[in-house]
Amino acid sequence: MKPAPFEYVVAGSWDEAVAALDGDSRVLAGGQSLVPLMNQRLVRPRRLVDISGIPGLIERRRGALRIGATVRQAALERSTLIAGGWPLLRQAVRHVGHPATRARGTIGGSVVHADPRAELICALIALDARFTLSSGRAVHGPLQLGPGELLTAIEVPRLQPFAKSAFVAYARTSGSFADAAVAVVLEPDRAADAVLGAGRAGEAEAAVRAGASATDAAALAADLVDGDHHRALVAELTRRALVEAGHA
Amino acid sequence: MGVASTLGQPVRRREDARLLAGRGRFLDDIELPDALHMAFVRSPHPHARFELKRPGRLTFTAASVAGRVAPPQIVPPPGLTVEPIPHPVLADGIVRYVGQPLAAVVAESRALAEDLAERVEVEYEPLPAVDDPRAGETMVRWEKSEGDVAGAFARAAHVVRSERVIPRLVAAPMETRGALAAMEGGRLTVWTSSQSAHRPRAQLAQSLRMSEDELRVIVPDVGGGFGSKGTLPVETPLVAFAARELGRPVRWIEDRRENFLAAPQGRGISGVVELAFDAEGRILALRGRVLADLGAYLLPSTPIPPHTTAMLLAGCYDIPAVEVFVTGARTHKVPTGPYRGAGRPEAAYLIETAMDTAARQLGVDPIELRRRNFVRAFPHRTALGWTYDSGDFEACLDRALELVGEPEGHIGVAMCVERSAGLFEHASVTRDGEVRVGSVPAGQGHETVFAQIAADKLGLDVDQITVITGDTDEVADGVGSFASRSTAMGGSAVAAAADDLLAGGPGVARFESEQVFTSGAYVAVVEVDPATGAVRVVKLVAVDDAGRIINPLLAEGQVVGGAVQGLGASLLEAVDGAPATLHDYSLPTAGEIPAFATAFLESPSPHNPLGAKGIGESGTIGAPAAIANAVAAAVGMRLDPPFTAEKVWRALR
Repeated sequence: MKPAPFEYVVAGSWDEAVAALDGDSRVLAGGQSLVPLMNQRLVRPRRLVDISGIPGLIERRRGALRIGATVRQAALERSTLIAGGWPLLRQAVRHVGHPATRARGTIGGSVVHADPRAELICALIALDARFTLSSGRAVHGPLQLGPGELLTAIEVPRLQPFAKSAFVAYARTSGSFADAAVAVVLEPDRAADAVLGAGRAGEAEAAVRAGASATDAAALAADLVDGDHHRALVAELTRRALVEAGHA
Repeated sequence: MGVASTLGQPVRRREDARLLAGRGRFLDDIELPDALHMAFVRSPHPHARFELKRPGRLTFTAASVAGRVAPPQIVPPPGLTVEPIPHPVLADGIVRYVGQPLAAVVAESRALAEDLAERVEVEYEPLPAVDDPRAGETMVRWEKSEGDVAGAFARAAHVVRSERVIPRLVAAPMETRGALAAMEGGRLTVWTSSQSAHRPRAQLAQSLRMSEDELRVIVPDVGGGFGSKGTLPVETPLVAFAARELGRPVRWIEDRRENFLAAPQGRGISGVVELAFDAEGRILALRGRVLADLGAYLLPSTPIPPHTTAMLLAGCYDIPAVEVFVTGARTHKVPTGPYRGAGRPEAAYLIETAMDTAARQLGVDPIELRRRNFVRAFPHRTALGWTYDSGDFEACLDRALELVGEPEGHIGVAMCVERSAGLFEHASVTRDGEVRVGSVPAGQGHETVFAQIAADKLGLDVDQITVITGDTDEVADGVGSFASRSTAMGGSAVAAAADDLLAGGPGVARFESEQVFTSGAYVAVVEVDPATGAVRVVKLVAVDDAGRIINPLLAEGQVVGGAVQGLGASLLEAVDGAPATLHDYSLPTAGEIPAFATAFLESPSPHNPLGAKGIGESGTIGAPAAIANAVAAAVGMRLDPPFTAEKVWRALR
């Protein structure tokens, strides 16, 4: 399990990183997904551009949360800004891998790697996050990077006062990829319900706003996924998440 | 003199100061600056004809080692009929499992060796593969019949039939396997991550046609074996051969992917148990059929687990008549071999789930049904032919029921009996406290237990004892550490060597004994979430009778560790279909570990001076059967492991 030969470039800034990228390159952030794939030789880039040294901050800008792409997952767990204003991210990141992988893995790496089982993506979707790219573009919704484009930051809008959130997952063991997970954000006039790998459950959200019970709304969320056991998991996890976020 | 004996005391592990501080010295820590790294070309097909195109000069192939490296010999347990299908060193024209090595290359680093390995051109012609052992040719056969089985079934008031399947498992030790070989002063030294030093030396001598004197085998610290390091990897003779041929040290450290592909797997057993009961619920006879999925070839130890499964099928019950057939089938999979328990968990699972099924069918409480059938007098020769030396099965059960209290959730009870020890072990002891013993630790705590035994005899403090293991130049002879034998055999050898020293002799002993039989009672408490099917084991109670306990702290560690491996086998683990990786094969983590209550009863073994029996496998034997019975109680029907959320959820619908 050693990678095929590759060239290694350290980028000190986003401009340097963009300049170093070509069609045969891959970006190395925390490496917790990419390096195992390279070690199995399933991914064989000619050049690796290491952006992990580019500084990234967790900060509040005009009320919104801005997280640099290279911020380690472990930093999300420790941030008091996140704990106070966007606790869903803290709730979700605890389901991502293990403490050792969270110490290296980055939030940007999770987003760009776009594994359908990525818990952080599910939470960011529930939070209506926007992705800022090196080209200056900002993307809301599914992230498609153009050639030579890099994710540089993630912006999460301010939540309304009295917002409540919950992240509930079922995984075979603590730290393994979840078989199903649900992120819920309930605000006085907004309900967000994101299902791992399937996006927002619009009908369930509408039902919650219309006063449906958690069980009834959860049944609608299950319609987003295939497979009867998977549906049962999503229904139960949605119900629990809604109850945990204060919806009966 | 005047130092108090520590036998029976919870002396803390002396090796932990070294191991926990990162000062352990494992195989890959041994630096030989000039060493080449070996990598293997492995089959991507379960069954295929192949042709190697233009192998390079430093490529080892079946053709290039023919007549110079022999496959390991198969030495089956007595009474087994075994087809001569040894594992080839390198595949010759045909591969029979995914991961089978067909060529080896060496280079200056492991990464370069992998580059070379992937450049070896192989043309494969895939062939049909046998996945189901019921369709495989027979490689191993065994049968045993005693008493009037047909008559017993004819006059039985109740006949109970139970058919169960245990999937294949991966041992997954934290340190993978591997070898390092170097010519030193005209002799070949082989470092290997192993549960024995002397057996690999004998196997290497046979494989390489060398005398044992020309070989030195050194086993450094070992990061777990669980049976999978009791069999010499087929790759090891090739590593040694290459070092001798090339005149340079050669290193092969198995990576995690190889460990999942090519290390022997455990279990892979299905069985049918039929029990004939009289009107009072006494067992009159047992019929058993065991089918083992042995994989593509026989490693030296491959036939052992199915044989042990059969021999322990009567469990802790007094069954006068038996008829058992074992079939070991050939499939296109990596060979199986001993994995912690090695037949004992299979036997306990088959008989203990059958007892619960019988209790339901007879309308008797499962605990009461067990009591009616316990063996109560020792020694007890079972109808299958092994002799239980000592025990008190009912006392174990009573203690376990006390410890479980009044639980919330569903409970399952299982008894277990395990063979341990046997053969011989060698030790020597000096006046200044140097102990040499043929047992080889893989993390169990030998440096502590053997020091306790020697210190007790010599009147020294435990810290004045040095324990030396795992070097055929340092230790004159030995067998090794498997079958839960180290305390009973190695410990008794140390005691006997110390006795010899105190009697004026050279302080050397070869201790021989027949097998001893550990027993126990396990209770699992489980909760099942009906909405998701998720099973949570809330509590495990383990009461073990392993004879005299030398160190209760270490003994409890063995029980808990084994039970957690058993928990993994119950809830998570199975190799079915394509070879697994750690991405899809889940091992239990700290998050899944239940509350434990453990206790020991002590029925000393009459077969060794310590009165000791093995404890290394008990948890893997008792816990899965208890969990299975608890899950069956919760779900209302019988399932086979692993009890995944999806499987349980479907059963509940």
